[in-house]
Amino acid sequence: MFTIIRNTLRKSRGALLGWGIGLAALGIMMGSLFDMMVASSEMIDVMNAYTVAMPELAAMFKMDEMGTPIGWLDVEYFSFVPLIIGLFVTGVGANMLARDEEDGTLDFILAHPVSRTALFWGRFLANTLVTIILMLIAWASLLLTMTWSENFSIPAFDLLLPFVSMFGIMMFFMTLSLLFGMLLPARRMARMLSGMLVGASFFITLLSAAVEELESVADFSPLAYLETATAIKDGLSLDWFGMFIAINLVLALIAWQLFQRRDIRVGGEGSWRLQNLKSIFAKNST
Amino acid sequence: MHDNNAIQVKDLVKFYGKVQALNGVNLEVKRGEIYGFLGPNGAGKTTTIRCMLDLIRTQGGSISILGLNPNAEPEVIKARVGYLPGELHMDENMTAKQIFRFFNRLRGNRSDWKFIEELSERLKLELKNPIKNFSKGNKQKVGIVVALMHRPELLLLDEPTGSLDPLMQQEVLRMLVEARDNGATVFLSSHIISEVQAIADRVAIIRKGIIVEVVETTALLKRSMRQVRIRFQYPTEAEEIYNLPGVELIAKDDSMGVSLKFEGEMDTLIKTVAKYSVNDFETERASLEEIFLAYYEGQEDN
Repeated sequence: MFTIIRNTLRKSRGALLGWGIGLAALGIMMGSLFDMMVASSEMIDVMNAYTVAMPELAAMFKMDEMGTPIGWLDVEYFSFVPLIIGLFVTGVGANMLARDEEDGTLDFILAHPVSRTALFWGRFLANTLVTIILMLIAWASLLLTMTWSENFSIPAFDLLLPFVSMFGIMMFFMTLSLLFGMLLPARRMARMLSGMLVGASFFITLLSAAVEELESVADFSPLAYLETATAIKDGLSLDWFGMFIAINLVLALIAWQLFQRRDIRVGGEGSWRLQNLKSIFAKNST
Repeated sequence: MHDNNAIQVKDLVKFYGKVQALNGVNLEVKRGEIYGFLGPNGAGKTTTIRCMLDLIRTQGGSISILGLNPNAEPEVIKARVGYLPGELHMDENMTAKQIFRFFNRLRGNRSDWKFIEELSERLKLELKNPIKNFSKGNKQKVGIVVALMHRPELLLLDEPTGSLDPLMQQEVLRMLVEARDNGATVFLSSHIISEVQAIADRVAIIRKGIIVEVVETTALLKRSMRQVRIRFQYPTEAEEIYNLPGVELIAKDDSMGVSLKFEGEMDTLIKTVAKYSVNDFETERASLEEIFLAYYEGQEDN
């Protein structure tokens, strides 16, 4: 399994570098912008004007809290970074095994003495590690900004908590995408479907603050359970985090079982395999 | 299951959806032999091999590889087997050396690096270039080294020399014979009959997912038809020759020359021809390819 983890990490270097640089730049930019905003009285006036003129919009974007580092990050950073990382992890999940199968390399790897279990969990662990590293880069970039910022300051551990909360939800999207990759004929379909779910979750969560009808729908939106400002102020709710980890584990176990029992293709895209769900409950597939 | 069999397949059935790819395949491959597995595209060769490695799951029948069940102990079997897929794909960004290192690590670093270098040298393989810069033939060489590098007990090779030039084909065939001489069993699937003819001890012919013939290569060639050309000294009507069982008259060049197809014991033909005054007598054995095609044409006719 160690060889699989190492090989997967090696293959993820490029993606990690590209996405990591992007997220780091974003973190540094957001931290630096806070100083500019605090220094600009016109900006504060604009936000106050919004709060009076368009209270729903101001509530949706929590404009009254933007004058504090926590509020600023909540509105300007954590409001859309989950969408960015969400799109990254759905790609990771869909590609985890389905890409190698479509490229035809899985066939050759599995002809060697590596079990499907070792390959699956080796890849899963490596990609979990990649997601963690990406989030640590994002976290570290915000911390780095604090070294020169006059106003932007949050204790390092407190700042880590929103990322921990985000990790649970991002892992949900990753395992869901992995599961889709096991069920759907092509990884692009798995990626597209899980990407759509990330997008839907993002917009439903965002709009539910302003549109009353969406409040009940938002209960089913994973990103609605993302704790950012509350995690920094009051600490992380381990109940929801634990719940997401448990769901992720169940999804990963189903995907693992599907991978265990399936025929490995020589290459290319496959056909619909929804019937493979039945095989999870079958005593013996052979 | 017999211990002296490297491969034993019994009544193997495999469906892809509603399409039956294998329809009760039976195979017995003895340890230490080179076994050719012939059939046209889509006959079930690759499917049979992939079942042996537990890459795809069967719907019926049983398989024993080196005395073990691939469904129960796939990793143990794969540790002792070298495999070359018919459609070889590898991580294109890795160099040949990195590929060898990766697969060697998967095998618990069992391979001798000197042996890997020796194999690479024999195949004139450049180790430091990324796979994406390799020609199809060079990629095939990488696959061959990966299959051979841990000196496996059993080699499962799906179209091993397909993309190689004739010189490299000969080198690879020599490597396989050496592996056999060192105790390995070689199971060689191909639709290129010449490579099977060159090295295989026995041949199985698969057609539409069922084994239609298993025969020793030499016996197949021996019993097979020959082309015969006779040049008589004088204009001759050699009716006795033409009426021999197994003789088919192809052409009369003129009253002194004839071309025949003959299937049977040569002794009978030679003794009959000896009754005539003959200037020249040529026989040419049909290649396995011609036999194979004749066999298939016969099957199709039926």
